[in-house]
Amino acid sequence: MNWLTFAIVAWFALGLELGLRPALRLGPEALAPSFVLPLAVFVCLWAPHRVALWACLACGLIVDLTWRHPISGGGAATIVGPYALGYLLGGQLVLTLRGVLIRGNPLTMAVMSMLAAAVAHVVVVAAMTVRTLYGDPIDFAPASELLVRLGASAYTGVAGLALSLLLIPLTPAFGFQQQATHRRIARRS
Amino acid sequence: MGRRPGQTAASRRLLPITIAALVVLALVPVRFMAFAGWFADLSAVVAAPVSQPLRALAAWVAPARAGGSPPEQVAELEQQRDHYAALYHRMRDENARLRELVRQLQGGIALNPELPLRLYTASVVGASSDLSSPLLTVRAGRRHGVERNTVATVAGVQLLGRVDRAAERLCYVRPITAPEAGSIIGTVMVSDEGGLLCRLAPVGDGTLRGDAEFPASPEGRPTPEVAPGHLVRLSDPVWPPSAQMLVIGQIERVEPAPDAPLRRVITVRPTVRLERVSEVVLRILQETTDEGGGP
Repeated sequence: MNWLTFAIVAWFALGLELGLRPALRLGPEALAPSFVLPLAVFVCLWAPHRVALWACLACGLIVDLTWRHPISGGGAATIVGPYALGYLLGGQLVLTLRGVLIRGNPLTMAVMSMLAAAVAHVVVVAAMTVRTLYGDPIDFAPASELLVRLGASAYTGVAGLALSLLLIPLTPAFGFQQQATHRRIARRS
Repeated sequence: MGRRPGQTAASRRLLPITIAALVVLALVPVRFMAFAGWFADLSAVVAAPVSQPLRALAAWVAPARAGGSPPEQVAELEQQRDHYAALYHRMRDENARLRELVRQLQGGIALNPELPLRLYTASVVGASSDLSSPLLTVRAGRRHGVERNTVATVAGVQLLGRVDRAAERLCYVRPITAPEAGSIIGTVMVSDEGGLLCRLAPVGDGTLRGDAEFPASPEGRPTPEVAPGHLVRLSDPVWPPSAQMLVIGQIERVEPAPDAPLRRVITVRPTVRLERVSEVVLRILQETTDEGGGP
């Protein structure tokens, strides 16, 4: 995979995530879609297994770093890990299923984005719940958060559909095919 | 140009090691995660060139003020009117407070004059990537004089919130409507002379809710009535003096309190949608540089 292309697209997706989310919020629970996760799903649909997992970790890590989590008694903290692990497991789900998927279909991106987002949010809620269990001073209500996040996962599917229209034409720029060819040549030699 | 076997084995080991490290980091107490703040600031700075224009675009498509923005001149005049109204109320309160203080102390103490205030307009470069965090990332930091608890406003006198943390170039503002922002004391402006105190707490849907306290009225004088549309201004001693009488919002709903007949439960909504703002004004206290030395 061309990591430079990935970095540029990830930068743009992060910009969408931070810039557009407030305007796309829905309802009193403020459901909002993710734009970084569909990118991770797209890479998982096309890239080799290990490369895809690294890309998921990178996407999750940048989301972790831009999440300022409120803590009890004022202030906020950056927690590294929950989203990185969540995206990793979400990506693993896509990697497991991709053999039976039509990769070039935008609906595949939409559905897989929704499922991967649900998995990622379950992991995030689980990690934060463990923190609340041992008394870490974070403001987090697991039950309500899980419901809101599952709603947001469905919304992420819509964002995945929209992003797929941009990402699928960009597939050659990511160099997935090139890498597969290199690998075949290396195996023969 | 194949990879050497040792290099491949090392790269294979790297992924599980990274995952293990992330599991540990995901569960380690937040007091040990201070180092991540620097990386978080860096990622916010890196994302800003994309997120800021997109946020401005989003604010243009879906403006923070309901009903769209008024023409520029009207908006400017409205802003000036609101500014002077806030100033008038603040001065009147300050006057009353000082009169009371002088009366109590029977005169003769030197009060510190209010520190000069500098207004710094900064753009909002983004929100948090997670749903649960309401913090807004603003392009102004310590190098601009912003500190923790610096007050942020929108459109002149609409109170936005306080700075939660200031980095070198960025700061994070917690809006007053954020659930963890805590309660805030305001004055319902039932008339120009003043109003009723209320303690408001964020509900989580962009509004604040709380009791409006009716003072005991002298015989024959009607108790002032709170009604939808009344402005609520900040009157909380916990907040800096420069923030007093800024607008918290407008009363949207008034309901009787079920357990206290002399109280009304009011729901207040800020005059703009705080999570959608694209530009804020930071009220930075300027430190006086002259320590009494002559020219």
